[in-house]
Amino acid sequence: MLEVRNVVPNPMKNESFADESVWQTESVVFEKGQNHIVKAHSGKGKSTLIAYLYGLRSDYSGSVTYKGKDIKELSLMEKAEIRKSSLSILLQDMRLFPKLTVMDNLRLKNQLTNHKTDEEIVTMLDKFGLAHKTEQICGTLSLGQQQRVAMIRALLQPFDLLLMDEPFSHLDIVNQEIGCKMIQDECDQNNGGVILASLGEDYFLNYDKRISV
Amino acid sequence: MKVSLNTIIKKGQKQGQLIVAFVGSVIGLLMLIGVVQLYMDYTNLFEEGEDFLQDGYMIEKQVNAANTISGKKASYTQEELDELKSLDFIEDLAPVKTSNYKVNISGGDEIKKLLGGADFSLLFFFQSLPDKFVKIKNDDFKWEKGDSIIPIVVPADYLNLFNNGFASSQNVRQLSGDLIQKLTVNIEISGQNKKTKFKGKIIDFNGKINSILVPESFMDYAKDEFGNPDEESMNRVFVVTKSKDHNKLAALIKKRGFVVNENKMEVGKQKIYVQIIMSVLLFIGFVILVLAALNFILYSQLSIYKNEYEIGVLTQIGYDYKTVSWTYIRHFAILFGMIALTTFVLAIFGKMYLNYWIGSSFQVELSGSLSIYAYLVGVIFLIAYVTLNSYSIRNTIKKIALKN
Repeated sequence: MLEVRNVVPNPMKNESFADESVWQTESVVFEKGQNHIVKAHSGKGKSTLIAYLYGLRSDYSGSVTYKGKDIKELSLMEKAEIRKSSLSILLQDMRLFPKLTVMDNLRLKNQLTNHKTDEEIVTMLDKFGLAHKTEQICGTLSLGQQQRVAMIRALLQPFDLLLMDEPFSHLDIVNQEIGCKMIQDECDQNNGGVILASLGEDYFLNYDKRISV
Repeated sequence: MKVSLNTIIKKGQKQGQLIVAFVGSVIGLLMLIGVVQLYMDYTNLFEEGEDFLQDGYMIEKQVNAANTISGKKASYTQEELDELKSLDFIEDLAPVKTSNYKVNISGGDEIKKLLGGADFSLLFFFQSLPDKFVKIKNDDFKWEKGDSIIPIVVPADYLNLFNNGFASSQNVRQLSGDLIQKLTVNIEISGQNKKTKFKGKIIDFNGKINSILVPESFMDYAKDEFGNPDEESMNRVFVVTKSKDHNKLAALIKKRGFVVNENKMEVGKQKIYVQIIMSVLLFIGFVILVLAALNFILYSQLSIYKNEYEIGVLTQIGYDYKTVSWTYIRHFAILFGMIALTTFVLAIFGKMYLNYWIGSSFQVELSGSLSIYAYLVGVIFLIAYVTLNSYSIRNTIKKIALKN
């Protein structure tokens, strides 16, 4: 469904890579409904790969295709449709609206997809121990709390693949486990899978495919 | 409950900047439609009562002491007329025909009744102009042989003289123009040992010629029937100039010792000066408005860029740029609609005040509300602005979306 072919990031084109690195491999395919983990040390380009797959950056040679179509060739409208119904994202810097409340942040996404009811959203917050924070302005939450809100937002849409870049970096082990369970439940319901970029840990998910960078 | 994208826009707005942009646009728009309105009012004021005759001047030969002593009348010769006609700035001219028969005007029964029994009777004279100079908006200004009623046009000054002089000194009631147009006077024409009675009906007043005008057909008939051919004279010529070149005409009049109604000439000059001033004001108003609009477009760009992060996140979570653009376009269209509304309300009150002020300071009645043209200018500008701003908003948001 997503395929990376002969891709080398422009900023890294003079570097040498390990044989198993995704930048060295002719083709890496990410299938719908499967769990993928992308492992590497920092600075090797994990975040870069996630950004390429989601169409956030295009500074590379080679090609990234979505259902056979080059991502660079997708129109803005096509991209918006894919991001609404097929690919979801959870980035390291959360990308919440800092001036809006927790609930407004989540509603802004959910009203686009009508994926959950307000009650279901509150239930999800409650699992993370944030049910009492619904009306708090996001910018005033701790990083760990923001990461949990961002995780819930990423789940407020149907997806074939959920792309995550270091999604548990600010969470304690209890919340990591809660998060992983919530993500797996959503995957099971939607027939979806994940692509998780991690420094080394597997967290609490099972993977069908391991990719190194 | 839905979260409106407007909440994000509003969080990126600085109240102070908004107020400055808002006030600037109101001032610019007000200035532009204000000048348009002033121009319309000015045109209405000066063109009132001048519709009856084509734009032109009545030039008279000066009566001097020699004429008086010799008894010879001041009159144009045919050569002089031909010479005037050949001048390049003169479009057309015709001598004014003057009665060479006796005209006696007296009040009829209706007038007697109105004036409480008072009557008047005076010897007068008629003049006429070729039909081509008379812009007849009133079809009643026609006479055919056999008609007993003669339509006449009376100088507006006569009415003033009657109302403000005669009526107040003799303690009789004042008459309005409308009322007079419903009355008839008795006219007796005599000469060559003949006498005929007619009725006269005042159909209009004019501010250009200081004599009573009758249709040319009546003039020709009366000259034939009652006129003394020895008393034919051409001491007044009606001149229509090409363009609005008053200076050459003024020079000629001075050189040849003609007499012209200076006041009418001045109005002509003033008209040109006012038109120049109005054009300058119109231009300045337009420049201010364009600057104000640019300021507003910059302001909307600025508030988009203030929200660049938010727009980026919206794009990343699946909002398409058209939806986001539309939110901004609608927001600014409403804002500009409010600017237009504020401006129109201020302009309507301004116009009411202007009517009142002109009325009390200059005794000139200025009627009506804001001109349709003033509204039109405002609406056209509103549409142009919204179109331009929408285009710029869409482009900017598309640019931001492409980065995400």
